Amino acid sequence: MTSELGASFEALVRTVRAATVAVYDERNGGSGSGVLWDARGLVVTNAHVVRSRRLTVGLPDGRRTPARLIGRDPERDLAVLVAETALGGAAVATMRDSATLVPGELVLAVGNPHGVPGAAASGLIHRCNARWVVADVRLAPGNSGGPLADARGAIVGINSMIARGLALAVPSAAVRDFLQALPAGARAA
Amino acid sequence: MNVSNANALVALSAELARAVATAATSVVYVDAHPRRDASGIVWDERHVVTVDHAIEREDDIELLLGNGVTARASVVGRDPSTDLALLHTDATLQAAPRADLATFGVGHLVLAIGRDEDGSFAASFGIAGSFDGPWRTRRGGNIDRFLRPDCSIASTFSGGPLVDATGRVVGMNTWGLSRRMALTVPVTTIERVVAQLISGGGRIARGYLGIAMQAVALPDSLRVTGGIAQRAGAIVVGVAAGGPADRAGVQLGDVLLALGEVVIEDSDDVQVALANVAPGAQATLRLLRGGALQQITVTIGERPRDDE
Repeated sequence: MTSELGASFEALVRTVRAATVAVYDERNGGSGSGVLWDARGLVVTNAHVVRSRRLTVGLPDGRRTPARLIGRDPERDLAVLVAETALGGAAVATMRDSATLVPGELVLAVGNPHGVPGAAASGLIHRCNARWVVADVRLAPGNSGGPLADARGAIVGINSMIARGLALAVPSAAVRDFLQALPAGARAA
Repeated sequence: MNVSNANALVALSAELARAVATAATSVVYVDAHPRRDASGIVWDERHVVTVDHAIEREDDIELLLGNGVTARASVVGRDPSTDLALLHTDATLQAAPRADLATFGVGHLVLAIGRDEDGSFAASFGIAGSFDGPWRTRRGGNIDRFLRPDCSIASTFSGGPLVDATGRVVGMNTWGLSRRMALTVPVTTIERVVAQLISGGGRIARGYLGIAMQAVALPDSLRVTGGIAQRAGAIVVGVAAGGPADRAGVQLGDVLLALGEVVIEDSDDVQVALANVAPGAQATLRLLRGGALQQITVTIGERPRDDE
C-alpha cells in the first residue's frame, strides 16, 4: 500500500510539473510560477508576479520563450500571458471546478520556491470559499502563480500567498471567470 | 493531464476527506473568551472537552455545532495543569469515537480538525511526529504520552481533536502547553482527567507547600560529610506567610533534598512529589540548614485556585 502510494505520488508530481512553468519579469528581476493552460501557449499566473511587460516563460524542459501579457486583474491577483513561440510537445493542465472541493482532500503545490524549479509540496484542503482555496501546504516565495492540484493532478487553484503558514490559492472557478471575461481579441491573439 | 494510475492516491484523498467529515460532526466551536477562539470535542452526549486557556466565562458559553446549530454550555471542571476543561450542555450531542492508542505510533497519519466562529470546519494533515513516554507540563500536569503532530495547527484548532485516518480521536490539540509548539493531549490522559473532574466536583486537588525554589548544586565537601548521594537540591527563596511550609518552620535558605520518598534536585521534582500527595496528608521534608541535615514534618496544603 505504501509503495503504491509513493509511486502514485511520484506520478502525480510528474504530471503537475509537466504543466508548470517559471515566469520571469525581466525588468524587475522577479520570478514566480505559472500554469500552462492550453495548447496555444496560454499561461496563467498571479498578477503580482508580472509587473512589467518584459516577460519570459521557462518550460519544464529548460526552453525559454518571451511571453506577452494579455490580461491582468490585480484585484483577483490573476494574470494571463501567451508564449511568443510555439510550445510543441508541452503538457497542458486540466482544470477542476474548485466549488467541488471538500476539506480533507489531498492537494499538491508545484512551483519554483526560492528559485528551485519544479519543487513540490503536499497537504490537505483546509477550507474553501469563493475568494480562496486554503490548504495546509508549505509554500515559499516563487510558488506564486503555480498550480495547486488535486489527487488526480487537476488544477483547483493558483497559489497566491501564505497566511499564518497556510497556502491561499485563487480558486480555479475564479480563473475560469477571469479567462472568459478577457476581451475576445486578447484571447485570440 | 490526469494521472493514469493514481488509484491509491485518489482513494487516500477520498478517505481523508471522509475521515474529516466524520470527525467534524463531533467538533464544536467554543465561545467562552472575548479574544480566544477555540474548538471542542464532543466527549459524550452531554459533555464537551476543550482547552482551559480559552475559558473566561464559566457560564453562558456558546457552542456552535455543524449546520448552524447552537447550544448553551457551562463549565463542569477545569484542570489548568493539563489545559483541559469539561463543559456540560443540555443539548444532545454526538460523541466522537476514540482511537485505541495501543496500536498508535510515530508515522501514523493524523488529521487536526477545528471549527470556526462562522460554523465551518477546517482540517490539516500530517503524521504523528513524536509519540514518546510520559511528561509533565510546566504547571505540574501529568500527560501520559508526549504526542506532537507534524501538521500545522491553527490557534483556533486548540481544543479540537487530532484524529487518525479513520476519524477516531487520538487526542486534543493545544497551543496552551508549550510556547513554541502545538502539542496533543492524548485521549488516555483526557479520560483520566475527565473522570477526576467529575468525581472531584470540578477540581483536581493538588498538594501545596507555599514556597518558591531554585535549583542549586551541592558542594562535594558537603556531600561527603553529610553522606548525600544527590548532586543538587532546591534552595528556598520564598516562603508564603502562613502557608504549609511556613507553619512547619521552613526558612529562607533551606536546601530541600527530599519530600517523602521523592528526591528533590530542582523545583520540578517538588511539583512531581506534590502531584502525588493528597492535601491534608503529612510528609517528611529532608533539608540542609546551615550545612546540617534536618527533617521537618509538614502538613501538605491544597493549592489555592489563583496560584495557577
